[in-house]
Amino acid sequence: MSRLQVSSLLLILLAPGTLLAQKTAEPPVAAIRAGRVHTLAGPVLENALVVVRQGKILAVGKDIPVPEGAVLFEDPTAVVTPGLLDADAALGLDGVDLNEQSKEVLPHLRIADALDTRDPRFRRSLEAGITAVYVSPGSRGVIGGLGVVVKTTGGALSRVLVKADAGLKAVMGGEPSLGNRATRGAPTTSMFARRPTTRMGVVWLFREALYRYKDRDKTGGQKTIDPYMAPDMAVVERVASGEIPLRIHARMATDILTALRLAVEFGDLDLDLIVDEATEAYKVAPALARNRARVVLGPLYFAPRSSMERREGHAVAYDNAAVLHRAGVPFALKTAGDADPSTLRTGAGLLVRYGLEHAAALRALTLDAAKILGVDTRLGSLEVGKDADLVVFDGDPLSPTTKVKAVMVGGCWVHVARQDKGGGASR
Amino acid sequence: MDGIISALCTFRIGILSMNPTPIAVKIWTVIWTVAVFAVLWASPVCAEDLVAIKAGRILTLSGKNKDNYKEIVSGVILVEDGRIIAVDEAKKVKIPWNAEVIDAGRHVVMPGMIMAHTSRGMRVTNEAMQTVPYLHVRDSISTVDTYFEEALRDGVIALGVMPGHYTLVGGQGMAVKPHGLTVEAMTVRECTGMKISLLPGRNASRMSHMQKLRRYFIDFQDEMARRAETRQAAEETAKAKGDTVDPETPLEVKKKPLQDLLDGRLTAFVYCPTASDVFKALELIETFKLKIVLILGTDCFKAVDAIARAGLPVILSPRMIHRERDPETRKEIETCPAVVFHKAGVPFALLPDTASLGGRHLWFQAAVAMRHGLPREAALKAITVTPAKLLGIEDRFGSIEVGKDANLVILTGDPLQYNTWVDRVLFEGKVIYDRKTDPKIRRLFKEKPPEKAAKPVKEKEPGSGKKSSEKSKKSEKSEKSEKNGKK
Repeated sequence: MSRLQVSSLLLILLAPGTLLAQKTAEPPVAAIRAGRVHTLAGPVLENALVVVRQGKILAVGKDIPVPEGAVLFEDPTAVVTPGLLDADAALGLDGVDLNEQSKEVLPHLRIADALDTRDPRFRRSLEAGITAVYVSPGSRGVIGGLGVVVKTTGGALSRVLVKADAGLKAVMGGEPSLGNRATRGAPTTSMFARRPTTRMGVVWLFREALYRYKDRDKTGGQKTIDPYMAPDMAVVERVASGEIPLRIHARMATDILTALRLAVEFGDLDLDLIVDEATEAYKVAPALARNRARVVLGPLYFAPRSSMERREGHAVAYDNAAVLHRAGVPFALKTAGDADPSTLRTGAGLLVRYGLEHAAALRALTLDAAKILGVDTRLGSLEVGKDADLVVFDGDPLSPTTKVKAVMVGGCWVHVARQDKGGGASR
Repeated sequence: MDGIISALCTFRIGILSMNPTPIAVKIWTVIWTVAVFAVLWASPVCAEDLVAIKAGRILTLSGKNKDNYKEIVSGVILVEDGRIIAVDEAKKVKIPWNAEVIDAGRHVVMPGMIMAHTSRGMRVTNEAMQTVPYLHVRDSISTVDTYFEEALRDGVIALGVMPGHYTLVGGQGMAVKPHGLTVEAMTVRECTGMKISLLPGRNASRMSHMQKLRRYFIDFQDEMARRAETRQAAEETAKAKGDTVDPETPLEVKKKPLQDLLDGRLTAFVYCPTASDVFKALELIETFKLKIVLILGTDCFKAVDAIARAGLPVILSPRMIHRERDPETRKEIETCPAVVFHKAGVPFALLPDTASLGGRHLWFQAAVAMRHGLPREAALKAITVTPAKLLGIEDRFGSIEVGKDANLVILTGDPLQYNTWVDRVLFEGKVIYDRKTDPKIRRLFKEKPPEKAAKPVKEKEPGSGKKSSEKSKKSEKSEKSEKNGKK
């Protein structure tokens, strides 16, 4: 048994004890010494120590001593990074439960109300080194609802919640109008007959929602909207003030430009625009930079499932991220519910293959993602005071041959890879 | 060399201009002729197909043991007429003075990768008729398809092109190299085998699908038996009469491939979408004595024992991980089939997965298998040696060994790493792909001039994507006016 295994085993055994210890004596301290530590807050540290107490990072550095009584995890070959962030993972829900179709504009729906944090796919993400994910409603509504940032450890929502109302989902593109045709002879009151059938209709519904908010603001004369009388407008108000970012799902270049145009049109509102998916962002990178939009890229490879999808946003460019980076557009990466969540980091490796800098790719997985999700006060880098979420790799985190050795979330080792799984898979 | 000959000519003219005696002229002419021939004989013109490749690391993949292979640090590969005549460390090989030297510097050389099965690169891959053994993919291959171009860029030197999965007896496949303008120029092996798919078509059950296949084979066998009987009868009557026997009428061209298949001259590539189909493939071996290579679905690792006992080689599903969830407990089990087959000692080839970003590279699939516990050597063999064997081209492809063709890839680094690129591809010692002259790579990595608009944004931190400064508001306005102007 290696030293790594012994120490990690000890930690697991100690984990229940820590709760008791907290009440009685000094809180327990864990220390991780690794060959290389990507803190993301400064230069890469060789042979450095990370000290963790009560779920927070106590110290990070090269020449700091191991505190007295600390449980040490030591591995000179390991590479430590902050926990990776998936900027949009369709986890914790069945596909059908993602899309509320009773109305097109439902900003006040919360995905948190439907989230199953015990979905095994959370565990799968965790084992792939992803410690927190953003989950959002689906893309069939024009304004779909509020997304949430949760940790992947599973359990009660209150325990895993990092940020509620982390973004408002809106869609520019074909999805909300997909298949909305009034059948001949059917009553026009049918749900599908009154829904938008073109991009024009989709954009109009979005615009109408903002007009409704602005009208209310003027005529009512009251600055605050009663959240019980108009829950949707209460959410739009928070978006308009920039409190909640507006995440517009746009795949094709035209849709991205539409999103930017809307942001300009409602320039008097304080919209914080994030372009989601952005398959063709490389075509309009300067426009994104000019408008200070941020981007959530992904899924990195688009496998179309329907003819509509095949038609839209098929123009995948592998240097998409590199082009955005050169144009100065900040971006995060997402798996969008890929069955194999390790594609988040190996995909980032392929972005490096196509011209992105290694450091920028790693930042997109951690600190940039945390900033875009609005959780950078707690996640995204190994800095004193931030959550003790970190991943121990056995090599370059972006390499497809690299394994995840261990994952720590909130100061606890939540996953330690077994040495040999007898033909089983491992990450 | 031209210089030497012209110098000899000048020398001869010089001698003649000195008005020597006739005998001296004769002697000088003889000397001159001998000199010219000596120069011609020794010149590299005679041995222009001698190539020496110097590399930082050579992955020969040719070890005798199952998992060990010889890796040479700073080695030389000597190639004569497209065939490898020596592979060894640089100090042990003497490079002939007339050899063309390809100096790969610190780069890594490995055998060209081989894709055991693909149905892409064809215009229409599936025949609508269900039993068409007489069809051949050569008529369907679209030589200018970008698929082949991408394969070459990725270091693939041979592909086993086969009909798709939706035809019962789909026709014959062939091995091609992803280089050349005609199918003839691309051909590596004329016929690699017959495609049989155990995936039932639409509105068909597995029962009727299998029944149709058995019926088809049995009908053919019956027909052949009747044919033999009639022939025997004809021979006997001819003998009784004392006549000479007429020569046998050759079998119809249309039926020849099926006869070859049932006589074991042609390998059957049998697609088994699920583990239960593997046993039907085994039944085909038993009843019809077919020679089989299995093309497996993701869950076929469950039949690994039967496959190992039958000693069959397999082509694995593009999906590297099989996931199964217990419907009641929701507990999830993940398996990497490549690891299972490796442990059972079954030779296997990997395929690229077209539905993911990394998976479309063969090397990436090998890397993923390695992450899940496959030894590196086995992962590399699954994309070189084993597929070469399955396609019946192992005498020329699959490893770097004396006697095999110099079908090599020069890589900028380790083959399983994300930032490694294929630098050059050599087919029979000749460079057929060079990254330096690849227009797509040049387009991709061309340094673009810095964007004017990007300047003010660069100072901004990713988190502070908030509100516009005056500058950006101005640009917004200018964008607006541009649009209005266009209208």
